[in-house]
Parts: sequence; structure tokens; C-alpha cells
Amino acid sequence: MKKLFVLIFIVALVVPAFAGGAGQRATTGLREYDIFLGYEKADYPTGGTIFGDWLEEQTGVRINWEFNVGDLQQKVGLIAASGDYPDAIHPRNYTQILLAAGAAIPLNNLIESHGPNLKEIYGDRMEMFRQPDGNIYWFPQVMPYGDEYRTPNPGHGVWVQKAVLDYFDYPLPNTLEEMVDMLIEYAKAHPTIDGNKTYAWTGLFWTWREFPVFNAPTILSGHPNDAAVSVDWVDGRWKARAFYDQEESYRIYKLYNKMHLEGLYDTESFVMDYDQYLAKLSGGNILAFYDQDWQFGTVQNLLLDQNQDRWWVALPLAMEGYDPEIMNPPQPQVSEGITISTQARDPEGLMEYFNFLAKWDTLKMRSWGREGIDYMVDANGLFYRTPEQVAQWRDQDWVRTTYGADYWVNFIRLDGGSLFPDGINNIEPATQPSVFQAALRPQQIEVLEGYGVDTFAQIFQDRHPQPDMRRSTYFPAWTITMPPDSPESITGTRIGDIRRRYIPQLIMAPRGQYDRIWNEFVAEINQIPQRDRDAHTAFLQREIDRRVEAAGGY
Amino acid sequence: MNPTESTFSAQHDALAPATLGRRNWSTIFRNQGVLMLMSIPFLVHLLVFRYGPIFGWVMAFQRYRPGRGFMDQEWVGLLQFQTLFADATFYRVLRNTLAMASIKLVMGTFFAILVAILINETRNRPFKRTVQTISYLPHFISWVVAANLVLEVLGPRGVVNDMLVGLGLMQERVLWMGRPDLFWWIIGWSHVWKTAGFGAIIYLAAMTSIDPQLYEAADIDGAGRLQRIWHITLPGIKPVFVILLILNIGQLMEAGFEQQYLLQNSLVMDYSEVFTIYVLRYGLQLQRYSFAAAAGIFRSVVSIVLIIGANTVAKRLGQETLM
Repeated sequence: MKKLFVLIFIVALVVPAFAGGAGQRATTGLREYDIFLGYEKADYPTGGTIFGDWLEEQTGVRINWEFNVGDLQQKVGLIAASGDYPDAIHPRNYTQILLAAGAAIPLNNLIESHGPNLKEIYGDRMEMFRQPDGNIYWFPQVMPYGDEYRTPNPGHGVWVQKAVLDYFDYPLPNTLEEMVDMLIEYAKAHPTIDGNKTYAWTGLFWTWREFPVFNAPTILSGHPNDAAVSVDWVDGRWKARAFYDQEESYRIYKLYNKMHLEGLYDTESFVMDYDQYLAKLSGGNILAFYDQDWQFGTVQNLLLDQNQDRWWVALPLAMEGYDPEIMNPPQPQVSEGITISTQARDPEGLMEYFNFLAKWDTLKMRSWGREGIDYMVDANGLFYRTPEQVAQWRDQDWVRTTYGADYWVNFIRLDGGSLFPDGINNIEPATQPSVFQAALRPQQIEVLEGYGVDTFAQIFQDRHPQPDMRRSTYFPAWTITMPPDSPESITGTRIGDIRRRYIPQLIMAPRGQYDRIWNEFVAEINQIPQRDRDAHTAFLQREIDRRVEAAGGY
Repeated sequence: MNPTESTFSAQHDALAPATLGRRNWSTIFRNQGVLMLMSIPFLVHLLVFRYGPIFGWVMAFQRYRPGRGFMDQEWVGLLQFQTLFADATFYRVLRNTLAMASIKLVMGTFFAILVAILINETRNRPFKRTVQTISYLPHFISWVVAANLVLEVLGPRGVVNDMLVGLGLMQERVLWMGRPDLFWWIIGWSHVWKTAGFGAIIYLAAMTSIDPQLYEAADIDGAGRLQRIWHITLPGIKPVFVILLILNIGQLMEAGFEQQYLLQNSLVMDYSEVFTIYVLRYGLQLQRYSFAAAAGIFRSVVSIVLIIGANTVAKRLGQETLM
């Protein structure tokens, strides 16, 4: 009797271990694919989503999502080393790690046989993410389509509080220095806002989100965000130049230091994490900062909803002597994307699925929603949204977890500023002029009228007509990934760590000490051999040249 | 000496040579077989999880690339170690590690013994129990939570600043977490807060084994409370203290990871980065698995040297030892 129990016990333990693998797929009657997505998202709703259900019905495919939790670099390293891959992997900016491990299959033949829609939306730009070995291994997160580009939002810039703009009657100073003087003047006139001390400036300085402070020298000397280098058009080529120990670095942190000496730089920012940064911004006592809109969009909307004047407007500003050409050109994000793994059970089926995502109707469904329910089409074929629809789509929770297209937002998507082949409708509603107009709040209209423009991007365009479209052959340089374990990437980490230690010290330098700390910083940078540092920049330059060549050459 | 105890040991001594002298394994197995069988899982566990991974050390002599077979790896000799010792950051990190580990060791031990003595001397049982429970509870909080508590308390709007400014002791709020000169001590004190209560338990256990007759005799001889603590309690826990000290010295290279990782920020990086964080940043995150392995070997070797050194010193001084 006792033995029988033991036997049953053992069987009960062992059997599920074998059963687990096999039974999974038959239950739904759908083809199932496992996708690892290197982004952090809420678990896919068990009850399904509007978009997800529609997609399942159309394709007969169900996706089992795995989202990133914690450190992506380690996670991707682990996936690569384990040799146990899901069907498709989106390792984000660590795509090279997977490639080095041989975990991704070449897609060329599959694209030829199963990907007509993909060929159509990417066109010649597909050459831009073809690898040196002649193969295509991934589909990028976002690519522009066609040559036209239309957006009402500049996306990033020096964000200045509307109350401040109001106070100075909608100024557009020529230099960042003038703006800083205005901020100081305003802060002195209003030492507290809603009981909190007023700060002229803050900046997020935490993990990979540190670029508002970390890349300030290049951006505020009039460049789009290329991260480690400033890229300028020199003698008919895009030339990368390191800025970390150059004049622009010295000047921008000195300008921040000026605010600090007035007691107006938010030094707490150096110990804040992302959530605390958002909480800080929502207090309304921060007059200005540099950032990109997607980082603090939630707070911006919150403040707009509260109907106050404490939200921010992006202004095209650069330090004196620099042209504020900071508006981002369309970004072909060619260095990273979704791969099909060597262990994919059904690569053809997966390619068919990707191809379906690239269909014009699917793209419309992904960004605009259902015709008649989520958007309307007028007699001229122009898409628009009614006020109710605008309100519905302003609810981010609803958009993310009820409509659900957000789960498919990170691959095979077209830039929102591009137009559909009809030539009149934007890929994304937010960039469509009519939707933009309909979604404006009264305070926003006030600002636009103050500047005498129709869109926020026009404030930039008045100063700088268009983003430099030539840049879109390589932009952005921050997506260039160096092979892990290469001397260049180690040098990059080293430079970064030294900067990370000194930037706060520079900004918080006591009166008269700035130059001493700057010299210490430069001395420490110089301990890294010049030849190594040059190799780091040269690597970026080579990759920029390679991208430009792939996009058709200079 | 207790009479029964001496008889037992006498019998035992008489038996031992006879049994072992014959080397009769079947007899030994018959007597102790069950115990031996019971220890096998632990032995296997040690072999698999403690000794097995040592084979991974070969990685330190390669330039390991994930996804490739063992034979396809590139052998580089001692290159990884040379890189490690040539790196200026490495020495800064080593300084931080040893400094913080020493601070934690000294403060942690001192306060654990202090708490144990205080609890031991308290006569009010309910009070004693309450204090003991409250003091060891922080041990069970994960550092992720504990670090946030520390950040909250020491934050610009935290209790410490509120109090100091409120009492008029300071004019301005201080960014405590941004002070490089204080970081080691914040680590030390937060370590004390989190572990002193739990560490006290083991010393309390050692104290209960001290013969009460000693205290009674001291009482009769007119020893005061402090004298009793000094001459009876402290010598009574010395063997435990020495063993724990040797064990902890072996851990000197592991000044912690989560604690520093979660409490650090760019203002204090010079003083906060410990060996484990260095291995993570310059090893694992850059996919330099071989470099990380080399650093791991370095750490293990230093630990072994430290623990054997401490043990030898203790033996020379005639103290209780591990080996």
C-alpha cells in the first residue's frame, strides 16, 4: 500500500513535466508565437484587446508576449547565452548581441516569398538595415515612408513654463543665455509656486534616461540628439565630433552652474529616479528644462487637464553662437528591431504575420483605429476625429489596455509624420493637422496665438524652416551599437562614467571653483589614451558613413 | 566537572581506538549508515553548486563569446587579469569595497554585541521580547525596500532634515545622499539598523550557555553589573565572536551589492562603487564574461587568503578556530 502511494506520488510529479510542453498549442486553435519584446509593458490583458482580437481573427495567430523586466542588456545577454530562443526577439539596442550569438536568421528569402507589403512600406530604405554580409536580420521599430514629412509637435526642445512665457509676453529669445536670464528674473519675482520653492531648471540624470543632462552639450549647441557625438555637415560629409571635453560642454554646464549659484538649479535631480522626476515636474514649480516629450508626456497632460499655466512649451534655443537646429529629422531607426530566431517553429508563418502588420489597412487600424468608430473620413478622403473620439483617444489607459494596439507599437511601424500613399493623411492621428487642431485646449491656443502660429512645430520652423532632411540618412547616431566586448565600447563606458561623476560636480561648483573642477575633469578624461578616444569617435564615424552609403551615398 | 560527563567521555575514549583501529567499514556503516545517507544530498549539493561552477573559471583565460561551443572559444592566457590590474577604476573600487566592508564588519559586530548585552541584562521579559522582535525585524526587509526607506528618511524632505531644520540646528536642508564624505557611514549605519538585531541573536544564544553559577559567585564577591559584563559575559561569548569574526573576514571582499547599488547616485559614485558593481558594469553589462570571471577569481583568492590568514592569527593567539 505504502509503495503504491509512493508510485502514484512519483507519477504525479513526473507526468506534468512531460505534458506541459506538448498540450499547449491545441487549445486555442490558433497558431501561437512567442515574442520577447525588450520594452516594459503591462501584461497583455487576459480578456483580450480590441485591436488584438481583431488581429487574431484576421491572421489566426496568437502572440504569447514576454516583456522586459529590469536590465535589458543582461536579459538579452542571457537569452543569447542560453541558446533557448522564443520565435521572435526584439532586443532593442542590443540587437547586435543576438546577431553575434548567431541567434537570428537572415530574412532575405522570406521577405521575397512572404513579404510583399513589407517591401512596399520600406521600399529602397530596406537597404539601410541590410547588414554588411548582405542579409537583413530585423525589421526596425520605426521608419519614415515617402519623402513628405509633417508634424505639429517639435518633440523636444527647451521646455519653458507657459506662465513664464505669459509673463514675458511670449518671447523668443535669440540665445539660451537670454532665456536663462529671464528664468532667473521670473524665479526672483516668484520665489515660491503653490508653496514650493521655484526652480529655474531641472534635468533627469538617471540610468539610460539621463540624456537631458548628459547630452545637453550637443543638443543645446544646436544639434538633434545624437548622444555621444555632435554630427555636423562638413565639406559635404556628416562629420562626428566628440564634445565631452569641448567648449560646448564647458559652456552649458557653466550656464547651469550660474543658475545653481542663484540657488535655482534643482540639485535634488541628481539623486532622483524617473518616478521622482515626474512627481517633481507635476509640482509645477519647475520653470524650464530640456527633455523629449515622450519622457514627461503623462505629466504634461495632467497639468493641461488641470487647466493651469504650469505646463511647458518647447522653444528652439541654443547657446549663443550656435544655430538652434535641434528639431529631429525623421528617424529611420535602422540599427535595432525585431528578429526571427533560429529556433522559430514556423518562420514562414511569422513572416506572413509581419507582412500582415505592414498592410496599409493594418497600419491604419493600428494608429487610427476603426473607421466610423475611432475616426471619420470626410468627402475629400481626409481622416478626422470628432471631439468624442479625440477625448476617447486621449485616455491613455484606454488606448494601451483596451484598444491595445500599443502592444504592437514597437516594430514594423511607420513614422507618424509620414503620410499614407494617398498623400493627404498622416500615418498617425496626433500629427494630422485636423486632429491636432481638434485636440487643442484653450491654454494651448493661447500660446499659439501668442506666437502667431498654427502649430508648435512652427515656432521652430520660423527660426529653422525644416529639420535637415539630409540627416535622415544616418540619424540618430545614438542607435549605433558597438560590438560588446570591443575596446571602443569599453572606452565609451569609461568616458561616460567620468562624465557621470563630474557633471553634477560642475553644475554644483561653488563660486569660483568651476574652472578648477573642469580642469580636474579634463585631466581625468586625458588618462584615457587619446588614441582610444579617437577610435571611439572613429567607430561612430564609420557607422555613420556606412549608413549614408546604404541610403544612397552623399 | 560533572561526574556523569567524565564517565561518558572515558568510555568513549576507550571505545574509539578499537572501532577505528580495525577500519571495519561495514561496522561503521552499520552504526552510522543512516547519517551518512542523510548527508549525501548536502554533499551532492555542494559538489554541484559550489565545486562544479569552478570549471567555469576556464572562461577567465578565454575571450568568451556566448552561443559558441567550448572548443570554438579564443584562448587569451592572462590577458583578462592584466586588464583588471591595469585599470585605475579597479583600485578605487577595491578601496571602497574594503573600506565599506571593514566599516560594516566593525560597526555590525560592535552593535550586535551591544544589543545582545542590553537585551541580556534586561529583566522585564515582555519588554525584552518586544525589543528583540523590533530590532531584528529590519533583517527580513529586502534591500530594495530598505534602501527606499533610507532614501526617504535622508531625502531633502525627509525626517532627518525636517528635524534638524525644525529644531533650528541647521539653516538649510542637506542633500545627505549626495555627500561623498558621508556615503560610507550611511552604508555603515543602515547596515547596523538592518542587521544589529538579528546579529544579536547568536550572541544572546552564546550568553544563555554561560553558567549562572559564575554570575552568582561574582555577585558574592561583590562585582557590579559592569564588572560582571566585562569579566563574565564578554569572555563567555569570545569563542563565538572569534569564529564569526573569521567567517566575516572571509567576506571582506563582498561589501554588499544591493545596498550600494540602490543607494548610490552620480554624486557619490567615487565612493559608492564596490567590487560587485564594478564587475556588473564593466564585466557583465559589456558582455565581458571572461573579464567578470577573472574578477571573480581574484575575489575568491583574496577571500581565501583572508580567511586562512585570520584563522592562523587566531590559532597563534590560542583562540577557538575554524580549521
